[in-house]
Amino acid sequence: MNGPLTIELHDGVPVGRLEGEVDISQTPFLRDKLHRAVESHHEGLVVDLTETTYLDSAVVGLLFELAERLATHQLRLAVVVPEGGLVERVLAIVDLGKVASLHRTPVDAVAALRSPGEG
Amino acid sequence: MDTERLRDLESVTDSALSYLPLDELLDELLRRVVVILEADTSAILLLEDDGTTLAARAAHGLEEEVRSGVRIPLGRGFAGRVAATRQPVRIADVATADIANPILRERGLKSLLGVPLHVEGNVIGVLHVGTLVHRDFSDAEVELLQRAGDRAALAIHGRLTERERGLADAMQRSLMPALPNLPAVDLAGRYLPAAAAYLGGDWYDAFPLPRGELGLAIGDVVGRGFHAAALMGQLRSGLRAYALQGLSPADVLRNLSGLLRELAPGHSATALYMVVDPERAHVTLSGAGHPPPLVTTEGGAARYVELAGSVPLGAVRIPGYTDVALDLEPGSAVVLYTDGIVERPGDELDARLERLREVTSGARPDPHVLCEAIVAAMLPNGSRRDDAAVLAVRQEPFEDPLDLTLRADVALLPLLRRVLRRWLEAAGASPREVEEMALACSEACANAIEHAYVPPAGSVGLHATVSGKGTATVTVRDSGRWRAPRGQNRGRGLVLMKGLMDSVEVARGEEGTTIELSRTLEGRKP
Repeated sequence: MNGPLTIELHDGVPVGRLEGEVDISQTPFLRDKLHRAVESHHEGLVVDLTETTYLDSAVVGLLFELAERLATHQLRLAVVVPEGGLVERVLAIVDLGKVASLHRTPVDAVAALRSPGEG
Repeated sequence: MDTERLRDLESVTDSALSYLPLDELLDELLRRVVVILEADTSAILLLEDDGTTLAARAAHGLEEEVRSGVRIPLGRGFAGRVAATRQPVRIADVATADIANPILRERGLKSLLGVPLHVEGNVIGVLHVGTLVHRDFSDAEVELLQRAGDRAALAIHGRLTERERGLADAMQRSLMPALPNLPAVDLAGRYLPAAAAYLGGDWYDAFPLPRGELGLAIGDVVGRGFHAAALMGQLRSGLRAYALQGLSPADVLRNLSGLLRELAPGHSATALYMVVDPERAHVTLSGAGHPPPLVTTEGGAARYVELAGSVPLGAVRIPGYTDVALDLEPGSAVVLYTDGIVERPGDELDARLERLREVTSGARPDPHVLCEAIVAAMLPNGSRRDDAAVLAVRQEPFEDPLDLTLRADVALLPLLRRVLRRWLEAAGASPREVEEMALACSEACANAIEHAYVPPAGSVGLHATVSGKGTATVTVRDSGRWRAPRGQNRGRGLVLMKGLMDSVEVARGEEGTTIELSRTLEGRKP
């Protein structure tokens, strides 16, 4: 096991999937891995929270940070958010939609990054 | 002349020397041996712990041998032959002899005489003298050196035993972990060394897991002495490493068994590993040839957990360990122990196990009380043939108000949330209220841990209660000085707390910062 994060390429786009409870104790490790994924690809980044049962402000902060970093490369962050759970409520409170596009499935998120001009 | 030399020999071990530290004692012994035997050099090599290598320990006129850390395999060369044959060896002409250590030739030695150092029938090393001129050592001189060697061996053995005991204490202390101080979980452990052996192979460990559970382990490496203790340390680290990957107890033990086969083929050890989930009062455990744990309830009924028969670690290539799951009644405790607690020469094991069960039933299920009672009843002040260990854990019963003290370490937040969820659920919160309030409280604690403390960290206090009107109030307190949240990202913690609770109040004082979170529970509204 390699922590709560697995990164795979979907159609050339890196998709980082976070599983279980993710909090401040894991953010240094996640930051390192996700920033590397951003630097080594040129298609933006998808963060898939479908299997995430918990995330705190440190992880939210990391998502904002990634969006900013991507924006400096004219790239975008797309986040897959499951419907009706704690994760969706948390992301609504902090208004992540301001800096990232939100989707229900990884396929939609990848497609959104692939389509030029949107978002 | 020989009478005179014998008298000189007495001086090799006279009482004035007995107060010297070992290294000074050896130097003085060697100096006197050189004088008495009219030799040019002398040296002592001692057998290493592994029993197969001689290491230069002290020398006179041959100091480079010690400085360069000469090590001779048993049976090889001059000193190796002395130790292997346990007989004196005379070498009249170094030039034509089988010598493993080049320093002897480089030093220009012509003749050598070596004798074994033995104690209680065991060779512990070699004492040798050398001369720069050719010499045929007489039988009388061989006997003289052997007598010097016998006396030296006794002195060395006494000192080594003393040194080993000191090292053993230090090693055992460093191998036994300090038990973590965890919110809402009470832990106690006892390690009792054997009366005769200085180092044993029993161990235990307890640590929070990344997902907020608690890992507890106990084990017993067969054998004693440094080797067993070192192996025990390796197994303990190995178990923790596998456990921190989030593997199930059976998988942890399977990996550990493979590790033992890698590290020490042919060695055997028993172990038991248990994961406690404080949110659901649920336990998962697996054993590898280890005696079964005891569960005891507040009512005072202790019973053994039934574990399927299992082989010890390292016994077979792919062991089939299985996980056993059980739910704990509120306030019950689990007791883990090693066979040193229940095995006693002359007593039936079944009777001893029953005795342990009775003692456990008769004690309050408080880990400290349990450990005391078990040690007092099972190992009364007598000499222990074997070392023994006992570890007890209990989830503290949930009460209103809930008071927790948390070491300021973000790694403990997952465990804290599990405890909080359980308490909130018991207090009547809905599933949604439980997860949202646990998040808000975790944010408050993270804030206290991360920003109100200058390392090394202290602790954070949490107090939770539900009013008659159904309002849950959680107060998180630290004793550090408030520091403004750094940047926008940190401010989000407060935004989340406010978004998930009815009210959030932050009070910053000289004494520290207090965050008070409250929310009215839908199901508890009057």
